[in-house]
Amino acid sequence: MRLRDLSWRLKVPLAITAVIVLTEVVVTTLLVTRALADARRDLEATAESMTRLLARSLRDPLLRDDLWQAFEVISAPLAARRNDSPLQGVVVLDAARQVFVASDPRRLPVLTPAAVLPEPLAGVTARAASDGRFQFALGRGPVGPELAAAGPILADDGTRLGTVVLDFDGAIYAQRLRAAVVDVALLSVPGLLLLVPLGWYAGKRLAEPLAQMAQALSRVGDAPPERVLELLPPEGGDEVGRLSTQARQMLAGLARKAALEREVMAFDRLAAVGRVSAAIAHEINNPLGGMLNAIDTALRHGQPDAVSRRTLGLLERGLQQIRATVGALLVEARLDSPRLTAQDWDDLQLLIQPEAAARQLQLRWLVEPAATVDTALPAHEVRQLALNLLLNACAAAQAAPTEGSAVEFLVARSPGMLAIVVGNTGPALPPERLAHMFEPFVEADGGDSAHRRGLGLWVCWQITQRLGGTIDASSDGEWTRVAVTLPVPDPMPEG
Amino acid sequence: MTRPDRLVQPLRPRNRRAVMALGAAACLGCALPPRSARAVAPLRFGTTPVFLNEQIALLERWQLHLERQLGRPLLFVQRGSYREIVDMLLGDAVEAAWLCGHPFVLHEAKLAVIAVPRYQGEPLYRSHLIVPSVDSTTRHVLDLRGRVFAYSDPLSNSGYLIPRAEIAAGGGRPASFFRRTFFTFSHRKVVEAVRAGLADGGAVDGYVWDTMAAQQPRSVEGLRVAWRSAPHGFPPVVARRSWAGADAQRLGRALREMSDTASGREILQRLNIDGFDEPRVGQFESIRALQRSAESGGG
Repeated sequence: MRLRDLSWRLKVPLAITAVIVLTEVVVTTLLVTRALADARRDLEATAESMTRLLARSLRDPLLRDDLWQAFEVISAPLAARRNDSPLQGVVVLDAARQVFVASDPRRLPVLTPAAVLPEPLAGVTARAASDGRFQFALGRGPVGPELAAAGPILADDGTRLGTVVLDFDGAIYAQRLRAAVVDVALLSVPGLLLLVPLGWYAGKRLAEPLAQMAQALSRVGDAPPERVLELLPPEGGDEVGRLSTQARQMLAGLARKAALEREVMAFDRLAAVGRVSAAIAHEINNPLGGMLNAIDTALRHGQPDAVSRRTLGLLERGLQQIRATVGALLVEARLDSPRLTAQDWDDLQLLIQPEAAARQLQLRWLVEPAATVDTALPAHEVRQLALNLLLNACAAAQAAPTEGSAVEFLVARSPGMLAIVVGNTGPALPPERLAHMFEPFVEADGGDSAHRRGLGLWVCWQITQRLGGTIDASSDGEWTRVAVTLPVPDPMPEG
Repeated sequence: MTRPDRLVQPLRPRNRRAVMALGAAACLGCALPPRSARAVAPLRFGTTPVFLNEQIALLERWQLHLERQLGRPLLFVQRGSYREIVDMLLGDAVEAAWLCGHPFVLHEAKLAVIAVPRYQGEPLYRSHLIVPSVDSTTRHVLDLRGRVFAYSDPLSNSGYLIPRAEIAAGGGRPASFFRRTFFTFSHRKVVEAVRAGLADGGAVDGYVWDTMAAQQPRSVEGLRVAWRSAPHGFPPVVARRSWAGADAQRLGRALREMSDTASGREILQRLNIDGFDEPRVGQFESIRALQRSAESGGG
């Protein structure tokens, strides 16, 4: 698995953990280095103070040539040392650079020349002899560290009486170093135990909004936008918060685009229906006119008997009905229409009032005075549009009768636009019904009203389209409303 | 030709006050424990490493015992060498001391023996030449020519005079016979020095060696006695003649009577001696002879 395929939910905690572990390693390494340096410094300081102490204590025995006293002096630190003390021997050299006394006389008998001292004792002894100061040597021997220290034994007047040499056990020193390293390393364990889970938790917390975002966006397309919005992390000022804001805006844009596409689809569908209807209407109307002319001719100029007359009458009524239906399908422009006036709205009210009363519907009528101002809109078409909508509303309100069943009619005017809203009480219409509301012959609840309603709204849509307006249906559970907007050229100044 | 080793002077006026004080203390109340005699100047008793004198608990018990017997306080005094104790004896800083026979014969004009320990039935002891056990060849100090040798004390008979006399008798010059010599100022430390390998051999008081071997066997591990000298007079308890008298007699009696009491016998057992005897005539003659030969032979 490549690193870039790994989830941020793992990557961030892993990165934080790695940083913590790395930090611990660096800190531990530093501490270990420090501990090692400290151990060396401690040993050197101990060696120096012990060398000085011994040098001072050995002054008199050397002056008095008191071998036994010197032996007791150098035996004391060895006898009193702790188990972990690396000090393993002391050698005192006299001014002639011979062994005056050694703590291990069997190894270094009295009067042994300094030249035969083993390393590193010989080295420090030579250096202490040459520069007359304390010397400390820490070297690497074949089996481990080799340690030694040496310092001069001086008389009160500074005369060199001899040299005291300390021999250290490198193995014990190495063991002490190992113990120090282990101590420091163990010290870092609780820190790691505490910090790694904390870091992991913090990392998960940090990566969570990002993961949430990824999950939410992965649902775009298969889940409804509202669900995707719920899944998105909260908005905020940080990068993820801003990303969330952007995603929300993007989702809103997508929703608008989807709505637009739906509208366009509905419009295209209706337009196609319109073209088909018009074609069919023309195809039907031509032979229909011929057939009606033929029947008329036969009735007027032929001598049909009673049966034929009845049959011809039946045919003529049937064909008239077909013509009416086809005519309703195909709303044609009437160029002779007068302009819409305030009188037209009053006429509409007069026409619909008996209808509403017969259906026991309350009628709310509100036509803004501004709307009654003379417009360039064709009166016939607007009246047909409004009447159709009113009749449709009355039928819909009656189909679901309640106590306060009502129909409302609102007309408002704004600059360049006339709005007509027709509403009726009734149950909410499902979205799929609303989507196909204006298509002809859609199935509706009532048997009889279906035909009428379907064609009525289809006619309304056609008129609206011809007038360059919009028509929309909405339903909120209490009211179902159809809103029509029609572009109105600004009224011409009087005269 | 013998000289009396025991010459105790009669009570001198300068000690009268102490005796009077002692008598007064005795009169004031027999009920008072002997320790109440603290007001009396203590009898100062010097000790030297002729015995294992670093056993403080033993010295305390011995001190208590003697104080009870003498009816006066007693103070054991220790110094780093025989010389210091001898100087204190001669300088009136101590009244009596358990000393080696050699410093006694050197200063016998001023010192008197008041008691001599009896060791293994005799008031005699020997000098031991000790060497590491690994040295299986040394039979005599002459075998250690050119080696490192540990003496105990320059005034010691067994730890200095005898080995040097042996070297001189063998035709050597004691001063240059060894490559290196040193003093430890204690027989026990001679043992330690040889044991540590610091010296290839050492001369010690045979009694001290035997006591160490008996009481602290580990302290003599790895060592062997390569040679034993002829017997010599055991290191005596001496008093300075200027002090000798009733007090000295009393001290001598108290020492001799230690074997009569349980506490005294216990102390004697710890000291690893049978008891204290009166000095005998000619007891230290052999040491005098060694001393004379050393003076004449040069060493």
